[in-house]
Amino acid sequence: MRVFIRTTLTWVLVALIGENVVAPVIAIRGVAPDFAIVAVVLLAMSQGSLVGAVGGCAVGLVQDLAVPTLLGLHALCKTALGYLVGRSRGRLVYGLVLVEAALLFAATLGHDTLFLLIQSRQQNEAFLGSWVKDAIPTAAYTAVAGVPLIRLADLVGILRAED
Amino acid sequence: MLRSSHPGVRADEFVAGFCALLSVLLLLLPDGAQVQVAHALSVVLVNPWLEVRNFGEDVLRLRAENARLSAQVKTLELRLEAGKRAVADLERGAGPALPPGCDEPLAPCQVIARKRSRLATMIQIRSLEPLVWHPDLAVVTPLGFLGRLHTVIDDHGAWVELLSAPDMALGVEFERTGLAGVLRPRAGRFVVELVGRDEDVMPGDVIITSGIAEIRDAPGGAVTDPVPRGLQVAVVSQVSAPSDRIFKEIAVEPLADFQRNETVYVVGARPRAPRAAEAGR
Repeated sequence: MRVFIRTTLTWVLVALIGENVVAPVIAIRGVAPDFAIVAVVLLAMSQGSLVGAVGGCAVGLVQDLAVPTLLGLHALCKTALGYLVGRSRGRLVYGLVLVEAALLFAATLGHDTLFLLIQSRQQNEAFLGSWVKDAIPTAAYTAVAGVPLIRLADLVGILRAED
Repeated sequence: MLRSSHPGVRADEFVAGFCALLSVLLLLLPDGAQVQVAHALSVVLVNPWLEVRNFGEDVLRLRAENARLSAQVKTLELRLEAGKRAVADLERGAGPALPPGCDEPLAPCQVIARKRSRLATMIQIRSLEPLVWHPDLAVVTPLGFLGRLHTVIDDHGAWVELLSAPDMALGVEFERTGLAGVLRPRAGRFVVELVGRDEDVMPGDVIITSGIAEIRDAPGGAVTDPVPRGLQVAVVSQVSAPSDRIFKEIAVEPLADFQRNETVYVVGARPRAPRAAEAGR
């Protein structure tokens, strides 16, 4: 129960404060880390694919409320993200910064790719331009900014909950 | 733990599939319906948080706006008092030896570290705009004189030494009579020294800064006094003239509250001109 509370607090705080407070402050030329993705990755790494998928869906749904015309798109992408990261956590080597950075980079890029693909179909927007100018830099920045958070989560014992 | 009823389908797959299906259904809704559903969900999920956040931002903005407005009000009040003092000086025949009052700009600052303990004598302030300021500038509150700038951290932050600091001394003047003296804190109270025992001082007299020079930049050096004349400081509470003393004993009550301040004004601090790079934008 204590681990559940600690985990819930951590990922909600990362998503809420990261997205609303930290990201605007540390944005570089409009590119900021996606703390919502970091939060979903943290949750999925800690609790597995089931909770990862539900948490991703919840976070995504909240983000979707800011863009009602694409309602469900964030939720779909983050559900997939939470599920896949949760499934892959057994195959990850914990404690290696490069592995965690690569995971965050791949998670962000995968999420954004799926998002932009569907968005480009729904709203007739160019996919490649947004992918190169936005998705790749965001993925790189998220990897850099997210690793300390994962290390911190590991230190407070969240990631080792089921080890 | 949740278990799927279908053999071969794991619970996490089932839940992830359900979430994905829900998301796709929402995504496939017509635009109008999407907005309606999003609005209904917003009322429950995000509006309370947004209201709290907006309230916090409004409070911060209001605080800054309030500081600027109250600085303008204080400036006008000081000018009004200076006008009245010019008339009083003329009627008293004091002549134009001293300026009638403060005509310096007031820079609104917010107190970010209040006086925390009984014995503390400094507070930390932060200006709303970058300022050109230096130690010894006067700091006032809407009520009266608070202290002097002690240390300037940068063009936004500084520490203020309160009037209650043990080594503080301030040149003051009795507004009614024009008598000059020196106000000092002494053993938990405030006194005005160097006023002759036969002078006219009464309880209730208002004490203002005299603007008479009292700081030398070096022994024998130029005399500067960053505290202008006319800032209200205290009210006389008790007067006595012991027979064995040549000066009156005058106890005063400061007008400013040293314990709790939100906005204070630095007198004479100039706004810093925008840097070239910023100005060019």
